[in-house]
Amino acid sequence: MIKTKNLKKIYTTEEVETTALNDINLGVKEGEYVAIMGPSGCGKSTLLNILGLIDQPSSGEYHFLGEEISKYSERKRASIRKNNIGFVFQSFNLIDELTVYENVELPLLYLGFTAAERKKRVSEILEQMQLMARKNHFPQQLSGGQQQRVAVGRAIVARPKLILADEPTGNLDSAHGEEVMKLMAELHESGTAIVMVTHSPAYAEYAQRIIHLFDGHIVSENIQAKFKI
Amino acid sequence: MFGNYLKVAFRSILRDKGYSFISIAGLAIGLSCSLVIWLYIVRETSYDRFNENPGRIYRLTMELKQADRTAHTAYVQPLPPLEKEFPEVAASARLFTYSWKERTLVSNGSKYFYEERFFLADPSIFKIFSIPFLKGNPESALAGTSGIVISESIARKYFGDEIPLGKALSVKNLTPAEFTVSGVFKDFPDNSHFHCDFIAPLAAGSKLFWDGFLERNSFYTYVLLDKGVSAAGLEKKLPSLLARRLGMDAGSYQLHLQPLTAIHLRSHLSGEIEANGDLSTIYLFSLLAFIILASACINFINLATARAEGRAKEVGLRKVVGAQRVQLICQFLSESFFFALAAVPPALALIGILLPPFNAILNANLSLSEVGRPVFIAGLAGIILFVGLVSGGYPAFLLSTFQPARVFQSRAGSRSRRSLSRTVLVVVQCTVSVILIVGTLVVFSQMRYIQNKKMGFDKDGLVILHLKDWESLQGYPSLKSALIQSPNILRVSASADLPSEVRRRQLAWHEGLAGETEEPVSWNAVDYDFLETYGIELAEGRDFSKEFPSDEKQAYITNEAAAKTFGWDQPLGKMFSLSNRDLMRPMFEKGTVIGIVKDFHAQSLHKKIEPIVLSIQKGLYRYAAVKIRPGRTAEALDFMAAQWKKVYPDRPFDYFFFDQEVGKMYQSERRAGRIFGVAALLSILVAGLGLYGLASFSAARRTKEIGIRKTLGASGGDIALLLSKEFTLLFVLANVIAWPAAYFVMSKWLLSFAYRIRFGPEFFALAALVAFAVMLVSVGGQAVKAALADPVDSLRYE
Repeated sequence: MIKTKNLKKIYTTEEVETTALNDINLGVKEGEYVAIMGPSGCGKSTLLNILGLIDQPSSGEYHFLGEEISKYSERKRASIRKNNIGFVFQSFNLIDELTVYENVELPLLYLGFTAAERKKRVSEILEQMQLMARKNHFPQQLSGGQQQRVAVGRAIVARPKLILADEPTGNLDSAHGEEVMKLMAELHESGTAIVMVTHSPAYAEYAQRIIHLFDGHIVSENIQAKFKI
Repeated sequence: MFGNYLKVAFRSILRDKGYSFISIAGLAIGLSCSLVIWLYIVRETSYDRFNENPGRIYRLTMELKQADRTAHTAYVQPLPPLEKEFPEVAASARLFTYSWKERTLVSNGSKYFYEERFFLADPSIFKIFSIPFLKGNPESALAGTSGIVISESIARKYFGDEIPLGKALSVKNLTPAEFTVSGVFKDFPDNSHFHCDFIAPLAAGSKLFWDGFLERNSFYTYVLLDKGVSAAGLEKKLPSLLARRLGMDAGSYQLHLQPLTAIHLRSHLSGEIEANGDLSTIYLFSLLAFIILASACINFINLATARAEGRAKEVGLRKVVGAQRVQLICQFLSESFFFALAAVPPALALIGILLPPFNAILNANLSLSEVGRPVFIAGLAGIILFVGLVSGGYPAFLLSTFQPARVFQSRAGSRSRRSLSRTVLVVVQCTVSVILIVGTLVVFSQMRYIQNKKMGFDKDGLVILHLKDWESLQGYPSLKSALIQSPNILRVSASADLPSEVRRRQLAWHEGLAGETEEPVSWNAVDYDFLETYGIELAEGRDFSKEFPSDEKQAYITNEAAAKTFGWDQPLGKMFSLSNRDLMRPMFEKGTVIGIVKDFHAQSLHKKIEPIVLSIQKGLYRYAAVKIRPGRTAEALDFMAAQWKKVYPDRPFDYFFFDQEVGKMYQSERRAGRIFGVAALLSILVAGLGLYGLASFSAARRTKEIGIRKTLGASGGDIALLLSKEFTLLFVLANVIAWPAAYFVMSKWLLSFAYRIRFGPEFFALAALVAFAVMLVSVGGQAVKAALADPVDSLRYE
């Protein structure tokens, strides 16, 4: 599903050039669950942003579902993104002016779903996330765990092939963190590919493969024992 | 999707109530000013369009080329019926009104009034102008010479609830005449370039005025052209009419066809029926309204872009879930339209407050009832579209550029770029406000200067009686003798023109000139005691006196300017005469200069004092002046009313105060001052609101920095200074730009006055002080609040 070749990302300011990613060669199969780990500043979030087409590499190739898309315009990338990829962020990134229902509904609006279709899908997701009773609440009225469940619901409402999660449990306590990780595992079991950035070795265990990043390089890749054939 | 945008817009207004209030309040002020001006423009451009065929109605005007100048008049020589001369003309009609409008005395037998708006017209006038009749028949009402048609208000005034048709009215201009009411028409609408209360047949002119009235007068002449006829084509044929029928030389006289709909705003010819409007007033108002509206839009832009960082996360997220840039631009534009719409109800409420002073300043008659008219709603829609696009365009463009990757890594956008545009906008607002304040101060100062300036004559304690016609003039000597008996009346005199507005010009000869050469001078016909009554001082010589019988025909008094212009070192005794050229009968005799008066302002302070000549001409007095003993005005007026009744039993006692009349000369300047004042006030209010919003935003944004500085030892004063510094620099920059601009504009305006104030640095200092005070109030409160806050509150979120 995903294949990168010599991917590089360099940030340039007036005085300094920073290489965030250096020759990243990575592949993710359809339905695979991959965790990316590494110390702060090693380029994990940068890599996730590029994989999620919300940032562009400075050089190298990025093949997504068979297309080389590293040079695509923002317009094209937005189109691929909304049809195929869902995002879960550490700080939830819900829109404060929208209710739970409206936050989950948002991707469907941009996909042009009819009102009836949107209602059906959003209701299914809210049931799945056990948030139906909170559908008219605003994010400020929810706990951290509930907010992240809304964010997960928003990420999957369009039935994407790939979920990208950037430290989804980073702002949650352990109980809520576990809740979210179980949700992600269920999504994986239903066939969705997941690429997750995490600091926590315990949460990384949920993944089939763990990639270690250091100073913009992939330094190692482990396939989890329980997933080895 | 649009529903989603609206929900977000509405909820974000509620969430940030303070900023929302500032944006909406500013927009409401801007909208209300623009809408009032729009109402005014709609009214001014609608003049005469109530007629059925406004595009086919024209007025004939006449251009006369003389030796040294060209005169262009709104009235023309008597012409034969044009519909008989030219097949293109469907109808033509002549209209006449006596040039001093107040001279028509009308009575129903028991009530009598002096009436303005008394007209004579051809019966065909009703074929050209759409004047609905409530009673009587427009086809026949003006046939013959004895019918008269009157307006609805006049019918009520003279006849109450009775049916006026068939009732008698006595009318007197020069000679009395009897008429029978043959029709009642609806009052002329406000937006007509002329307004009639009475229309008598033109054919009755000879019984009201003099024989030969129809042949030797000038008339306002209107034509209705057939459909599809070119006015330019017809105008080319008019010289042949002049030559063929009137024997007039087309080189000296030219007739023009003036579109009816162009009269009100574009015609300022000699002899207009009523004072017309002015395109420059419309331009000025439109500019001021635009300035205030633009200032409100600037507030919106500034606050929206200042708060952009707060929306960055939302923008990034929307892009992540698939929003295209165009969709985001639409979202933020629709938010700004939403704000503009939210400003409409308070704007309409503000219009209710603004309309009365606006009507008072401009002598207009606009009302809130016009708000429901389609043309108003169209204007409102247009203004909202403008506001929405202008206010929302830049913030929408800016916000839609945020990249998700940078947003989520807290690199939302170039801070310096946003600050620069905000700086520019704030400086623009402050600059405009300072210019308007300077303008207001200058205009008010000049008005005060005019009010207090010694005019060379007394203004106070003088009551003027208008001698409206020949009979009034006949009774004047008896009136004067009677009035002078009262201990409350000091002096009585009369003149053709008031000393403050001498209009007559006459050619004059004096012994310094060669042969028959004559020079133009201003001239006033005055009675004995004129100088003493008006307090005009003699510099040399003596006043007119009954002790010298020759003073009645052969004595002249001039002013110092005349002596200087004529080159007289020893003016007394110089031979002098006003010219009898072009007069119907000779009036002036050669005489001598018996006195020189100190210069007085015989015209407005716009003009330099010119040579003026006074002489006794008993048949020309129109204004009797009564000097009242100070503190005895009421008693004097009662006495005057009683004596008037004895001398003129059948006409009303009518008077005005001289100082008020002098004040009227500067009505348009006073009006300009008030308009500037209101515009300056509104502009400063909007700018102040904007500064307040920005200051509170700035303080909120720097909460962490303030907390850290205080922890490291900064005092409250240091913090207040830190926050104020940003705005103080902008304020200084605004003044640096505003002062030369204001000087340029206002010194040009002052040049229109021959006598004017000194335009010194104190005006700029005062304007800067006012603007600074507003800034202090707007920004200072926020600075003090931030300075007094506890550091731990700022740092707690860390």
